Amino acid sequence: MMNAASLRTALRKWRAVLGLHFQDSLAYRAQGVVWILTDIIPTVTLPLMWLAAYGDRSHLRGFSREGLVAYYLAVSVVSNLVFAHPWEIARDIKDGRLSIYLTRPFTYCGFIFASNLTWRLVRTMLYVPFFLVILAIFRHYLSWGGFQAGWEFWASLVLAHLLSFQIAWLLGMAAFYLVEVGGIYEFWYMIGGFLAGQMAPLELLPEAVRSAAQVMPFSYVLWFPVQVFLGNLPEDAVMRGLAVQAAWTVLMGVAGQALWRAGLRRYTAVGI
Amino acid sequence: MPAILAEDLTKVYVLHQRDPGIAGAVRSLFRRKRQEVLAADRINVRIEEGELVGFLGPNGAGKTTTLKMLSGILYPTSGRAEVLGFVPWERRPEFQKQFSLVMGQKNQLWWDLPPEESFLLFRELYEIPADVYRQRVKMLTEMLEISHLMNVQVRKLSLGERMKCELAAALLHRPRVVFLDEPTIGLDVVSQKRIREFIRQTNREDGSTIVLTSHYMDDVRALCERVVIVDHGRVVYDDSLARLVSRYTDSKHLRLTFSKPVEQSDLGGLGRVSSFDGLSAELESPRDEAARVAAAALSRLPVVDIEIRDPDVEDVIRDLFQHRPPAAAPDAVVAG
Repeated sequence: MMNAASLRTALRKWRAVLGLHFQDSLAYRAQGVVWILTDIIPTVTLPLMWLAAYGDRSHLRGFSREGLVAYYLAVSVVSNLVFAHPWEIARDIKDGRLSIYLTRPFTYCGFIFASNLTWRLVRTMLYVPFFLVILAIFRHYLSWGGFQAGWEFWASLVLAHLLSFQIAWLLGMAAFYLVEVGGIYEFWYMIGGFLAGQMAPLELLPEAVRSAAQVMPFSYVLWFPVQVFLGNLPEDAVMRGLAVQAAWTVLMGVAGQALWRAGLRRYTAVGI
Repeated sequence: MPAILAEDLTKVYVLHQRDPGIAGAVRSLFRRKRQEVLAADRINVRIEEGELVGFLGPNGAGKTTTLKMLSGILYPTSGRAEVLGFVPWERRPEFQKQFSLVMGQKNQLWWDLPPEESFLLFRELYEIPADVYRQRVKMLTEMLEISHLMNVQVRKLSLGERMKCELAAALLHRPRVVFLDEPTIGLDVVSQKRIREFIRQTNREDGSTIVLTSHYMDDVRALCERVVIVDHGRVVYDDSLARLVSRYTDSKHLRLTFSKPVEQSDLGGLGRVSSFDGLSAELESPRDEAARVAAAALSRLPVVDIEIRDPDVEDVIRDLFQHRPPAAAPDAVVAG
């Protein structure tokens, strides 16, 4: 067990690591704006496409026009806060930068987590002005009712961030075992993004795909917290969802740490 | 207890090879050629606290692989090691807080931030008390003349400036064991000299144990009394630098300067000619015949100056590597 002094030391270390990475993330703000611009395209075009598909109907599988627009707007904010990428991990393993981290009295996983978390916060701040423009574009479809920003939403958001990080970590571990990981990542971005509800709410997908997506971890990264926030899920579904989300997070975390330990034994620390 | 101890430390890398081109890539999907590379072959080293030891060897000899195992970056294939009583690859924080690794080819400071930010992070990670930190930063930055660089982004520093900041960062926590892998690589002569002085001073004042690898013999000559020479993954020499020359050479170098041009054929019978340009020549002769060769040269040729000396350490080490047959299997590649 940790005593008070060692807990204080650990907290001080985390504060320092987060602080440094926050500054480092700020240094990449110009790059961030470019990435945000690429992400904005689907945030604007996908709802426009669906709106055209409504025709005379007032609802599509339970979604009103306003509800659908709200879904995509919430997706764009939540994805800024939760997404994690495996590229940095894979690069560190491939070019041997990992070696430096391995000599530090702080875990590499902690460094990467801090790097992603601070980047997510910086990116979200940078996103605010763009978000305001998008709100203006969809001003005729904004309805402000029904949002659920209670503890259930915040818990699902934190778990989504952790789960997304664990998935990225697992994918990063592939770099210990494979020469080329780019293909796998591209595949994951396509399939994972789709099953997470990034392209469309799972409700609009065929029944079989939706059922499959709801057992897999991906939907708990994006679709679940978004739907909790929009108040589209009954309370028992929210509770069940939180339990499944937590279970996936723990499972992925355990698998990731096992692969990390095994991967280190294969690590060759090239390039230094 | 020695500061560093390695017993039969061995590392075998497994490589998968493929033939070049698209056909090779497709073939490699089904059948990969597996190749084992013996990078460190039963390395035995014992280094006492406070020693400053040079690790020498050609590229790919196994120096860096050995350092990586001793730093806890790599797991060995077999053998054991202890650094300050810890097994390095267990990577216990108690060990990591007492040791440091500097790599001349890798930057450890955050590239887009000023060095001071990395320093402040290390203060927390290595749990350095605030007052100790202040003194230490003051001392290190003054010694290395980098106080004025503390607020400049690392990526805007020159290579020499950055290396000095790297060294200061690595020594903030007053490590008891320091591994320096090519700390002067690519630096100008002035920076090299400054860093050399700094390393010597650190070893003396902190009493830290330092293992240094370098391709620059000047570094080794200036700093290391003891050298460990590694070649093809094996320790081929482990003793004082001074004894290396006398043990491995039985030759003397003679440098002759002539008053007027001579023909190369005039040098016949004077031993091996290693360089000749008409007005000067460099000869190598067995140690016990050096006097006879000198006398013959003086009597036969228009010599205005003669210098007889031992071969340089560089020459000795080069000869040592060139004349040794590879220890590994003939088809094995040696990687470092």
